[in-house]
Amino acid sequence: MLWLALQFPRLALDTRPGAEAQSEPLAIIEAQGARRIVVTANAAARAQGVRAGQVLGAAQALCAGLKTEARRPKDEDAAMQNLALWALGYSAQVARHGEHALLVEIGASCRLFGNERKLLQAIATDLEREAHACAAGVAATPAAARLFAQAGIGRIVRDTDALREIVAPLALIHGDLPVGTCEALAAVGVRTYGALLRLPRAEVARRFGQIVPDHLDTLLGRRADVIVPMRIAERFHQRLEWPYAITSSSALLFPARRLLMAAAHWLVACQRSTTRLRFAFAHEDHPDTVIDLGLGQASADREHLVAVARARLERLALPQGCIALTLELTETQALDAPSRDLFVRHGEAPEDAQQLLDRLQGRLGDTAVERFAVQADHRPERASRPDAATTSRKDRDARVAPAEARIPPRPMFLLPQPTPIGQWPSFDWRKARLSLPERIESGWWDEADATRDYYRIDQIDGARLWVFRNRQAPHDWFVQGIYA
Amino acid sequence: MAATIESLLHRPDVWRGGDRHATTPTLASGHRELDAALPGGGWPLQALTEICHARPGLGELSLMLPAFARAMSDERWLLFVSAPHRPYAPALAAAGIDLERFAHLRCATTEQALWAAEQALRSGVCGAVALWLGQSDANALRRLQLAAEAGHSLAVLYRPLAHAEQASPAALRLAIEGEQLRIVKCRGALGEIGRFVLRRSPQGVSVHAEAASARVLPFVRAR
Repeated sequence: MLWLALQFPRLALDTRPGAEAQSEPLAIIEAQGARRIVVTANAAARAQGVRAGQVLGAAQALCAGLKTEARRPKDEDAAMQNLALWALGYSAQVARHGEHALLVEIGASCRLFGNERKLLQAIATDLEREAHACAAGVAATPAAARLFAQAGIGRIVRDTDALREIVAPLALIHGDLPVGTCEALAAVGVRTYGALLRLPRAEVARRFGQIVPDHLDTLLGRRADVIVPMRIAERFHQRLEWPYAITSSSALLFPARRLLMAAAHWLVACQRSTTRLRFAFAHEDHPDTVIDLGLGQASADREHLVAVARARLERLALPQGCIALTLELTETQALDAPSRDLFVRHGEAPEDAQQLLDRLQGRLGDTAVERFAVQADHRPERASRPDAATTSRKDRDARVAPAEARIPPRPMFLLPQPTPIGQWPSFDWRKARLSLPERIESGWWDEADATRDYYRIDQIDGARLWVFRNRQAPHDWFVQGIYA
Repeated sequence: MAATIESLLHRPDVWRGGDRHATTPTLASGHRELDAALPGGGWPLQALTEICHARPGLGELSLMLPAFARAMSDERWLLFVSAPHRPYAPALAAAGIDLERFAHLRCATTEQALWAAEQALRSGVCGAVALWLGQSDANALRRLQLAAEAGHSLAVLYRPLAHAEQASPAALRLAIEGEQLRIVKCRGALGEIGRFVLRRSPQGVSVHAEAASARVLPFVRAR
């Protein structure tokens, strides 16, 4: 077992787009009893000395124009949940720890990547793209990994025997012991793990509680740590809200993208892919605008999902500004491909045909992409059948075009409705040349029976048409096709 | 200086009149006498081919079908964008087109059609893309030509005959009038013949060089 602990100290800022980089100093604060404590501060505030854990008064003394905002625990929780889903793409064992930390068992996944360095590199690349500030630690036990993350130890320690030596110089306050216990230990001069480990075990337990030797045991791997694996929601349904109304559909792409990222993580974690998703745009006083996006082929690839959504959002017209966006995966199916496959492919593989058609369909509308199949029917209008773009390849393979080599050539274009020849532009009987007729007599078993004589007509201007007359009414000629 | 000119000459949109071989790869048209006249011996790939025709039904699609079928090798697709009528599956299947990899895109506006064609050409998924356009500005055609250069596809643009006399960035331009097929413009030097006759055959069309007597007329020459 090898555990990776990921700590997100600036999650409260990461959930507010643009807060970290803005030039105004900003601190996120939280009430603790009567005091107000800085939870995290943005780059501008940190530059002036504002630190997490400071009392607000002190922070304001350091930084005159400090803006403060209260924590939004709901947002942070949702962000952590998404991060946990994302981590499930790398490992089967993921647990949340406390408010801002994740524990990921990477020992089993290392082999897939070659070695732990490559795996950690992939994880770091993902986090960088999502712009999450993160501290990481890797160790043989979860508690040690957390300690390393907190203390900023970059070593990978696989061996529990070596742990004792490495934790010795580390300060107790970085570990999992409660602050009160740390303070009590500091009062007797014990500030590091090394000093604590030198004390007799039974006496430490008596003076500072059983919690201290228990913590040391879990830290050094002598006692199993209780890890509650993360549970995945049955359905994907997420909502993003923002304090102002967004009217431009290109600006809406950003929240949509975030939701799609989360959805892609969820899909990978559940080993599922989606075929239909629904965006609901909430307005202040107007019913929600709901758009359904259908995919031609089930997908769990985030870039593909984003591309399809982008094409659709570009032609979205909203009745008024949008204040919240909900994404729901309305149809999902079990994935039969291995999960790693999805991660490696991001952006590297060229687009495949299905993705192109999905993208085109997303922009042009659901009925814009027409597919065709040949059907064994003598009636011309039934010999070509529109084939829904969503039909899977397997279904189509089952149908075989009939071998009709002996029938006269067919036109490239068929009119949706036969047009009376009198209405055909610039048609002149005197300048037309008729082919031999082809008699088609079929369909007497259903309502649409046809007894027609078909001719190819060459006009003087070179155009060739496919015309027919009904045997019941031999004087009415109709154009049905064009030999383009 | 010499190097600059050399690099300029290698740009796909710069071509010299004297060249018989095409700068871009070509795809045999399937019509022997036409191939002999076209630079590089076929339809240009990575470039736009424009066909102006007086009206639908002159064999303008049959002319291209052999090349379309050939362009679909390697699992590549054929896409029609805003065709004037609905394509008829049995005729396409008879011409050797795999309907599995064929789609027709119906577009409400010219902008949509241009966008879709551009996406299809750039994706690299399509072996051939055929686009039908009515009125369109030179800028849009230029974009289309650039998209065609980006992909490795056969890009065919169908337009009304009235546009044949206007300037166009397409690399190869043909006009079909009645039974006459005329090469309006091509990159590199044209073969001896610039005019052909499209004859209807049961398999589609066959292309024949215009009768020799017509060629000696002093004022008939390819533009």
